[in-house]
Amino acid sequence: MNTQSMSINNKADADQLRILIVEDNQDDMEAFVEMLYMKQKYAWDFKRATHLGEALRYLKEDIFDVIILDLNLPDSTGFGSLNKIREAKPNIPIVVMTGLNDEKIGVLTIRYGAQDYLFKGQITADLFLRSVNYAIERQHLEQVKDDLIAYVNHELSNPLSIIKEGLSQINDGIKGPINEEQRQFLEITLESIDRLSHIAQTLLESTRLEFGKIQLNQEKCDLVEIVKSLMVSFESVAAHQGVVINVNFSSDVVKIDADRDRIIQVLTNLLTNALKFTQKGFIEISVVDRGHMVECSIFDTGRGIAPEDLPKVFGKYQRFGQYQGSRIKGTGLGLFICKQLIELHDGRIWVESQAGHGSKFVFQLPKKEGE
Amino acid sequence: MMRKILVVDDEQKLVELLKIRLEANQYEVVTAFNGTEALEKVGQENPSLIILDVIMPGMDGGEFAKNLMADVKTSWIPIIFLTSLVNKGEESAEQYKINVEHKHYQTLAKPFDSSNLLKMIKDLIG
Repeated sequence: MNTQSMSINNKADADQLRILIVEDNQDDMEAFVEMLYMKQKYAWDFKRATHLGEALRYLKEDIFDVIILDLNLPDSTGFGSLNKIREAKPNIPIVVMTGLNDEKIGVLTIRYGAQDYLFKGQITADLFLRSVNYAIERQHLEQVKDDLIAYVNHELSNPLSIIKEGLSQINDGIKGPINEEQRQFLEITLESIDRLSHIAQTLLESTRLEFGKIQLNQEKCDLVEIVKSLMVSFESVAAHQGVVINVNFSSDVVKIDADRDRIIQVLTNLLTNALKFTQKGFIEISVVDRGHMVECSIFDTGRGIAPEDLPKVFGKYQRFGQYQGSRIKGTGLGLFICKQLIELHDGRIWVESQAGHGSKFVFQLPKKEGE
Repeated sequence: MMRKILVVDDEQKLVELLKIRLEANQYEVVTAFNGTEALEKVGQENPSLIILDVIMPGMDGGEFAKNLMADVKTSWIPIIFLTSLVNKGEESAEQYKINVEHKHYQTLAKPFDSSNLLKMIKDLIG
């Protein structure tokens, strides 16, 4: 399904490396290009853009093997530049040039989807060539993984749908009456199908998150309203279990700039966990406006987390409290996904807990500027 | 008058199962296995709702929906998009944009609960 992008990335087919340089400083760019032309080994084909708008136009018109990107442009700054380029062309490798001699920022650019980074002023022709080749190969590997994920995602959906719907129809008596024992068997089977779908779904999602493939649709939304909307379904489940859910809002409306569906996903995960581990007592959800931050916490009076497990809570494939073969079964990816999603929002998440005394999961999200 | 639903999916067995389920709930069902065939059926059958697989060979769900939107005679028809397990990937970005703008376009991830599907249909066409 990605044959087109594969061929773009396969530089062996092209005799020239087609490079788009996005850099607003004309002098820097000239010096840079000149340096590369000195190196005769490779034939380069450059296109130069001095601002993001121009770069996006070229990306629409032409095919490139790699993009060299200065993050700070007249019409866009920081990771915003990277995001916009990736939105336009997710499959072209990007090497970020940063003026700040800071490895941390370099690594962050990779987390945000660049394939490599270089520090301005330290670039030699050899280093540049190595970086470009590395970026292209890295992108190729990412593509292989993406294709696999997309394939599994699509190809699993249909057989799972058919199995689920077919068995549901028998269970619902559409094909004639069934006895109680048959119903029980079908229900166990259907539950396992749901579990299998859930596992596949979280596995795909966590992999995509880890590789920076999920982009947020950020908009202004109200965290209080989101929590209230979730209460509709969770309150009845909790009541059924004999657990009360209390809510506590610092004001009627608490605005955040976030991807609503993703925040719902995080809260659903945290609440499902709280309910899983709380047999009696209560759960309390608080939303507090802290000025430049919005803080949301989910406290439960459940069994809590052992001190040795606390540092591992947000790791991958961590499953606590599942040793009793009880109803508690999960993928061990839920909290890992929560952490990734909150960090994607530039927020942070942590847990406070004492074994036997419940747990409190807290996340903070930055507020939109000027609010 | 019985409400008519057009089910479009390249997975024939799923289409057959959906037909049984929907007919059991007093809907009339017509089917198509690709976008081109589905466009013909829309013209012939005047469905009141379409259940549409997003990824299909040839004309896919997104392209099919764009065709419907371009024509005032068909742009009103509610659509329930059936997406894959993880439904907010690049594959459905285009179609997702359609959704936010049009309230009568909904999405449902496969494998779905038929009770959810039936509720969605009920909300859209009764």
